Amino acid sequence: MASTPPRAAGRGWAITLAAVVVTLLLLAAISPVYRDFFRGERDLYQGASFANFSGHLEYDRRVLHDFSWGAWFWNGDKAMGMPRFGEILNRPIYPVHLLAVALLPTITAWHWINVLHVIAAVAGLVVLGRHLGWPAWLAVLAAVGTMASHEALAHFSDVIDLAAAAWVPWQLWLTLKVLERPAWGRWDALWILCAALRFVGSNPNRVLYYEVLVFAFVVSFGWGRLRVEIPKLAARYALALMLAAPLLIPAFAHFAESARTHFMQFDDWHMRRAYKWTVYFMTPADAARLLSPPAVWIAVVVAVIVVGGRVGPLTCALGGYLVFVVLHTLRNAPLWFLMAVLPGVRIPQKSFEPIDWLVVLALVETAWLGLAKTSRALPRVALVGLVVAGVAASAFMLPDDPRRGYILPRWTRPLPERLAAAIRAEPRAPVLLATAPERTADTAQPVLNSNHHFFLGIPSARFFGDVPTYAFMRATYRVPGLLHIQRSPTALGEWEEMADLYAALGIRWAIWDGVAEPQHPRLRAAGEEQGFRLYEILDARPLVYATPALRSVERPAAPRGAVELVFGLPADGPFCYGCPAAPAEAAAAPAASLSWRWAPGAVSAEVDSARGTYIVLGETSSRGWHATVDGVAAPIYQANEMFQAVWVGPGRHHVAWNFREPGFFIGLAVMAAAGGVVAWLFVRRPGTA
Amino acid sequence: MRLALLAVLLLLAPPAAAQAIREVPIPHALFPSGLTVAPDGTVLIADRLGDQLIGFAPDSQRFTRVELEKNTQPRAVAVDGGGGVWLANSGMGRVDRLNPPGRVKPGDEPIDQFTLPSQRGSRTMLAPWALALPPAHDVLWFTVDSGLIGRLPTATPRVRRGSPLAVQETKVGSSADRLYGIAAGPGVAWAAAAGSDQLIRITETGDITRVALGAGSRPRSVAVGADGVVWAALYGRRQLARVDPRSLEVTAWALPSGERAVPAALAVDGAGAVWIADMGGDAIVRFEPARQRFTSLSIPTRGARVQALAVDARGRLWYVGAVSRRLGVVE
Repeated sequence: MASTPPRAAGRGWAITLAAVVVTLLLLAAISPVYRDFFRGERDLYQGASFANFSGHLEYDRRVLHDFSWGAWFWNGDKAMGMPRFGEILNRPIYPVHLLAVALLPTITAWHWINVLHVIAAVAGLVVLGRHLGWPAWLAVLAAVGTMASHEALAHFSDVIDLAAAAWVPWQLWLTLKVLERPAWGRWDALWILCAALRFVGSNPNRVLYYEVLVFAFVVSFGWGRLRVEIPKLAARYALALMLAAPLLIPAFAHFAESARTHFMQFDDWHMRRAYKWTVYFMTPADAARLLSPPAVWIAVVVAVIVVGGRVGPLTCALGGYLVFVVLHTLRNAPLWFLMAVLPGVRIPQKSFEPIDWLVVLALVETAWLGLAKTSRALPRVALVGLVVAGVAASAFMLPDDPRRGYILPRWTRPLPERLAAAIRAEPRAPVLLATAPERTADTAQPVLNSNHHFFLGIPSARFFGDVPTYAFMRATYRVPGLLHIQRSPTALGEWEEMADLYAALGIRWAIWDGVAEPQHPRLRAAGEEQGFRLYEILDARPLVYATPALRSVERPAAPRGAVELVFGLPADGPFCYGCPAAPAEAAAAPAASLSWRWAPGAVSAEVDSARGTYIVLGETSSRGWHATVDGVAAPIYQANEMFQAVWVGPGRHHVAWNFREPGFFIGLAVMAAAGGVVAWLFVRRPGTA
Repeated sequence: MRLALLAVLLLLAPPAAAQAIREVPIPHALFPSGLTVAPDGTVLIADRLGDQLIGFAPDSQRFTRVELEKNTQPRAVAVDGGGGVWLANSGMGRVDRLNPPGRVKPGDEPIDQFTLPSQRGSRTMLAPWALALPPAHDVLWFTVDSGLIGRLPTATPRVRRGSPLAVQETKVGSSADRLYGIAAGPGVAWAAAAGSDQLIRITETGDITRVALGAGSRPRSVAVGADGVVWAALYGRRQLARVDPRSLEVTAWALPSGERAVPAALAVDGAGAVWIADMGGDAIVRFEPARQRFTSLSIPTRGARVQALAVDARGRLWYVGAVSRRLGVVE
């Protein structure tokens, strides 16, 4: 392939840059969504309350500014503690996040991260279009039509989707670049880096489908040399996965103990349906959505007819992907079962997404094929008209009102900082949040939720996110306020009656975001601020406590059995699985004296007991926890379904719990090895394969 | 003289000391919060977080279970004269009727679902909370947490799934009013509005009267005696209140456990005595209106959190501990 003269290349990049700027200006001009988004007037992303990810960013900021390996690995502020790498949707090592929160205040960082991803997507689309030979004005139209479409705006519904989509056009462009060069080189290195960046910064659901699209691109653009390109593609993926190993190895280790892996056991969990892949298949409504807006699809078909039935490779790739989607989402179609090997991952419905926003590219490519081949005015005008009509349809035929939909007004209510300070002044104890007068969807009525606590610096008892750990899920899936209706606020009538159970689980505080007063003997009003009221749950178990005897019970195979044990905690006391019975005299002995110290992933206790005692740590048991008694490794018993107990003999002892992420350092070594290969690819001269 | 002697005898008469409490654990229950006794003597328990209806046959001492639809969260249960079992499904925004076998034709669903009209098109899940039947059992009254009182003839014909047509609802307040308990007399129902410290009387024609019980009284439960007298458990003031249905005059008595008292549930027995579940004092308290005297029985399980009481045809008082998950009877 002939190389481009440097001056021409520079001019080409300048035009591309100008096209990116024009695209962004056009988007801001025609779309209220982008206009308000850039200005920061609306940024509460629909479907994921304001703090859904900004809360985790705040946690990341705290980790970076006050680093400890314990805090890096163990997020003790969420859901009674959970592995930070166990919830990869929060992208614990995404460099964009880490860099932004290292430099900026969290909310500012959060806004600019999202702006960056929009700009990245726009730039990638323009670069891709220019690489395909489209003139700048056509690349601009393609990018505007794509980014203004419903599905691109729907990326705002979950900021992780925004990030997942942002790098896809770049990945497709890099795919074209590597296909143009049979030898390994720096474009392969960049391709691998881009893929790794996407793997650590994206929603895995999205990534899996985008990789199918990348594969379709390789097949379409590399047709005729697939025998070479497919192994190269596999090798690039292998290196990209190795670069992401510090995330992926721990994530897979925790996947086994995630509720995702076991969700089918929760046959009395009302949300099980959401994670059961067999309930997802294409319905007429899905098909209508896939072909929405119809004007774009009609424009594509008419354009293909106008150009004499010819289609370009990009359109072929998208068409191939469309075939895959159909085979994947039609009930009992050959590929319907694909990816069912990943339990608890809601796959099929999301496969529509790439087509929904990238279809405009097929229209533009087809039009450009015609424009490049014919000089006759009528077809040219018709093709340009089709592109303009398609882009306009994409931008304006939106199912939601762009003045009010997609992104919502900012959260402006002051947070209860003084109440949080009162909580922090007491020994560490989890807090119940996400309460509200009524059970409304979080899009309808944003309430103080279980991610605001990251900003308040208080630990949350509630899980807010996708799916928690298996132990937490088994213990809490029927407990109102903790997981029961995980995306809705918990109404007063639901949580007040749980005070006894909360106390048994060590939840000492509840922040009430409503007008009426709770009625429970254990609840003591402890303060009010900005409409939020703080209640203390009296006699709640401390985070670390000594109990001479745990009821040793058989671990129920079904979650329902575990729930019955958990609901019995207030009346029957704590229990454990497989723990040896304490000596009879231990129960009759005077209470042990105990002091404890908590740090993320590192808890220690000094205990003095006459006859021996169990020490219970009220943080979720998980792979990665290790305990020692006087420096000697000690077994950890699963207590109260999700907590951890250690037995200490009579006398004075030092107990320590430490959490180390399994596989992280191995992942770092793997990443270093892959990084060396990628660096070598980047610096090696072409033609030395 | 004769009256004075009678009064002395009444004062010296042995109280309910002869009465004893017996408890039995409810197998597989999570948070039983509703209770009633069916005409055949079966004790029915609504397990809110277990999504189940539990039956207990006192004669055989056996429990039976009916698993309900997931997330129905039955908060209260009542049985009408025809044997229909009514559930306040706080998780689904509706009341359900489980029809007795004789009322179900082959192939029919045994459950009728009555969705609240307000639930249609609402993004908020409304929660029916308490149920009440008047002596004639002809109308089901219920409270809803968002300030509604619902009414439904018990003889409502079988309806299509989820039909809201049969339910009449009256907006009497908001979620801040915290409508808890409800009790019904002939043609009238009384609801306890804990958030606004009042009882709300509503007639079948929709006329509403509000009875102020004093700031901080927090009425939680309400019961109507055979004589029409209305009783309310004042959670905030730790008192039992009597409301004259005609004059609406309010009289109140402090519960015997003093500062620990947390009156939660009420029932009136055939003799006109008022039974109170004292959540804080872990006691079942009996109040004799004639002598204005309390008798207290300790609940064997500490922290039982009794939320529902029911009197059976033999005059026995049944209670259910939501936290202890035990069914108790005072005999």
